[in-house]
Amino acid sequence: MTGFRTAISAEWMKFRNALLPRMATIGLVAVPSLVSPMSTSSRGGQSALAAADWAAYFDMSAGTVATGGLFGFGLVIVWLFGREFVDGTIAGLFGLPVRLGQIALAKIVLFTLWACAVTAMLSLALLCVGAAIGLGAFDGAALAALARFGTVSVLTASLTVPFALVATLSRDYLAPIGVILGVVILTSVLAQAGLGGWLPYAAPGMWAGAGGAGDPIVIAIQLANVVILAALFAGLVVRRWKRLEI
Amino acid sequence: MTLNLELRSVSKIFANGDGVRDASIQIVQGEIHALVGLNGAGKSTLMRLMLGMKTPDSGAIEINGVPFAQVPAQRWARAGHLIEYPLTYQELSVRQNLVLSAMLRGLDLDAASDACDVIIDKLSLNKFAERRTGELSLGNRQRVGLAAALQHDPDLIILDEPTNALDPSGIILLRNVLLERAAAGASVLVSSHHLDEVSRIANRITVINAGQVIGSLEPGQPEIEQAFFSLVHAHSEELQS
Repeated sequence: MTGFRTAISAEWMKFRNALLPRMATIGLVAVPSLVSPMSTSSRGGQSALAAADWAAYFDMSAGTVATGGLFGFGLVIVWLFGREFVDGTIAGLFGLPVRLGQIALAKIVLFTLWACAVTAMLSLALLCVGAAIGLGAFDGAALAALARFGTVSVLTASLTVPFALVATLSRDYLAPIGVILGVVILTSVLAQAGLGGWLPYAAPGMWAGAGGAGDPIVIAIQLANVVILAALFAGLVVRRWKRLEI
Repeated sequence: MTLNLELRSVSKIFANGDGVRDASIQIVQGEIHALVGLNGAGKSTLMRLMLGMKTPDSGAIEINGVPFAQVPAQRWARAGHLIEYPLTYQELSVRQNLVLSAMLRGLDLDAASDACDVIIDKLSLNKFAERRTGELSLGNRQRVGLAAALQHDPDLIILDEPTNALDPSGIILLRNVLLERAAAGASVLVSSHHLDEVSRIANRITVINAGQVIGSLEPGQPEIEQAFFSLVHAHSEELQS
């Protein structure tokens, strides 16, 4: 087996047996699925959560994931990286034919695959709940909103990659969790102040909030910023692990 | 005498002034080499330097004559180590942890399972094999960590305080495995506070104090503790004067 394939197998063995990823999966799938039917109960009322059709329902759920997902996905990536330091297992990962950079990359790849799987499960759960509460015909607009929801969920997960670097640098859980909280608050303040979708952490939620409306070029650039940020930090994390000293 | 690992005039000084200074040490094939010293003497730092956990400020580290930075990744498939914490994940069973470690050393699943069965037997881990390591006592976790470091028949073994938390039967089992590996040609480096224990199994004993290699002790020599403290005190006084 190549070093990277071995690293993926090893990370998957740890991931599938640990409690936290399971809890996070349940939380990420269950919370938006439960919040959505509650929103429909206020249909016709003044609630901002009111969802009159499939498109509004998916966009509203995307808004929930865009904020809550930073915590849900963030906790998992912080655990993936921080645990090696907190549990002291990082010492055992030196002096192996599998390089530390390969292990870090394997963690990011596994996290991304898991985030995609969670998004698929959540999409399915939302479809079931939406059908059960009778949101009407599933038309082209609904399909576009579903695709938008999936994109927002995966982009939100990718926005948590920088927290892996914080976990690596701090070698702890508390600092990255504090940073997640800080980012959520700061994003909310700065987005309200007018930066809006130009803030990578606000971009997916604002796109969904507008129901996908807006200048397609501006939206494409704003969402591309999210991907660039995630890729940049993924590179920085791998580089940091390659040069790690303990 | 074939050298497996060599440090030549290696220094690594931390911001607080601790570290190792101008340390030279040779780990030879087929020998058990013991590092002894007081707490904070620099034993763990030396071992970390040998495993790439730290980069030396100066000096050279070679494995089989190859400079450390050029050692191919595959060479590490034949190394085994335990520094400070055992490589055990609490959510995995003992068997899963051992298979994981063996895979990280390059063994395929079948070979990893076979190696795991053998070491479980050798270190008497059968009773706990299917139990999660998070449920084990500190001593048994240490035993699993040692099993992970030794199961793939490494020819370079580096163990920092391996008898930590081990019960007397664990110490005897470890001693037997180390002697067996050395007899098979492996180079073994262990650090320890237990002078009697290292005196019993080591071919060479190197004494470290205040980050410097200050001499050696003769394995099996009478009054080994007295000889150790004579060396350490003489060096400490020399540093103070």
